[in-house]
Amino acid sequence: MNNLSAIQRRFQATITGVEDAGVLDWPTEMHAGLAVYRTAYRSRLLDCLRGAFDKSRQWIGDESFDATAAHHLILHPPTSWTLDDLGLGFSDTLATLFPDDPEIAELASLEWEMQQIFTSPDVPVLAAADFADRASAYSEDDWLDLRLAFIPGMATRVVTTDCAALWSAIDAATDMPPLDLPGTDAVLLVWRQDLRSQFRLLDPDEAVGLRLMQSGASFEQLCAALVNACGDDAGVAAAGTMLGRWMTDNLVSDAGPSVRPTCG
Amino acid sequence: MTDIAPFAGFGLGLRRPHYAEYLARDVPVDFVEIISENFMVEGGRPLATLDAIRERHPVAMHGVSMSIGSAAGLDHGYLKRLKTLADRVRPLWVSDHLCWTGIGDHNTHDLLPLPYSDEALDTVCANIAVAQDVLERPMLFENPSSYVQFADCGKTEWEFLAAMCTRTGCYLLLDINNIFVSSRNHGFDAVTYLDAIPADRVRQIHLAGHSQGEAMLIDTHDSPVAEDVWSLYDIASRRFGPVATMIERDDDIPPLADLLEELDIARRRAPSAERRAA
Repeated sequence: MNNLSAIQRRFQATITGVEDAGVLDWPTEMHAGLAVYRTAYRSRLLDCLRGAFDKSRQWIGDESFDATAAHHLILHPPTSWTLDDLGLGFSDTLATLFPDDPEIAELASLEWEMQQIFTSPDVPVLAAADFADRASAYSEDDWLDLRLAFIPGMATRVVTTDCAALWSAIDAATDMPPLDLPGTDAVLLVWRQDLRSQFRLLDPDEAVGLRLMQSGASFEQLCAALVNACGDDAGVAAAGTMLGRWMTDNLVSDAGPSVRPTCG
Repeated sequence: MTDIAPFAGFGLGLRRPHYAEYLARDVPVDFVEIISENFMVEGGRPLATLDAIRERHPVAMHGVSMSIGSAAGLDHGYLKRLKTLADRVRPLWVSDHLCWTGIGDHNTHDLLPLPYSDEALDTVCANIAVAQDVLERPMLFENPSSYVQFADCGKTEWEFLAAMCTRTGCYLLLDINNIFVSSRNHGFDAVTYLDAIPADRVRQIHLAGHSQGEAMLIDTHDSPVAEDVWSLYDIASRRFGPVATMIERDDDIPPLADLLEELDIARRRAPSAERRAA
């Protein structure tokens, strides 16, 4: 190790260390300046997490949030060149520290996913009208073999609380909604539409259908799954409704019998 | 490697609270400066906004994460993404800071001070050569504000900057506020500093506000440019002539109109040949 490397490692350890005792190992005339760097390191990272998880902070309060953030930064000091990565795993830290309040970690996960989708790659979406033109020439076999490619970054996740309603209530500064969800295995969808991050809870049938099509299933397989769940006529109608909504929501980048499916 | 042509004008740092105004009207600036890392993303609104704004204004790219002084070398993944952004933006130039941000697996996200030693100069120059090679362009490096000095390093900051330019062909982004802050914190003469800077390497000037901390001045960028800094800018303007000059505000960001008024102060104080877009 050369001298510069040794100086930098020692300097870094001093300003990032939990205790400030390392400052005393440097010449006295450097102590005040080292304190400036120590303070700046902590405040910058804390500000970043506060900004990235603003609704989680509002939900649990400043004191709890700051303590959680400090804990997270000790366990997961920043390694990436971008501060945008600082929040990676923060929801896991919240889940560990608040095991009896699952909505906290789920709200933080939603905030994280909305940030990720905000800057995900740009791809042209398939407009419903364009698909209708394309589909007008489909044979019955084309329809049965229809597959979908979804926009990149689109995320689906099982949630146990209505963190979506919680997010909206905090955003609108309205009364807090009930956090319980009817049934289990509710799925939250996060995506981007017209440059805006969006989310919504899927009903159980749509959750099954979307995940099926994300896995590369054909429209015939989607219909079969929904017929099994809803009956013949209602199942096929539901498949058509889902397909239309996914296109209206700008979830689909391509569709057709020869399309290579992508899960988003 | 091609030279960077001089560009004299007055600009502002492009900050999120002002995006809508830049998109809605013709803001009277000669250029805008972006924080490169804010746009080193794969897609979405940040890049869409930047694409629209750069149709109206020349753009300078200013980074905070290159860590040009790191003894561990540069992050090639970072450089590749920076190159991708530069190819898209086609900026006036790409700049970063004379500093290091971390070593090993840790990134402090701060602009940390270097010892101005021969060893550090060798490291910085080797890293600049790599960065300029990857980016296929010469870069600008900004003098940092600092709160500690390493004893017995052999060089002053201005000697280090001059030697760095000579050895690598890089240019300088001279932050007048940083010179003022560091001169007060470390007790050197700011005019001596300016006199030692190779004038032909200066392509941009930053102006910003600072705050009085407990024991020293802090480069906070949260207030208007201080009168002492304006006085130092007068001296710099006379010495360096027409150079792209910019107000840098990163916290307590006021309405755009306030920053444009502050930029007009720079216009009035600069050499007359430089007064564009007024």
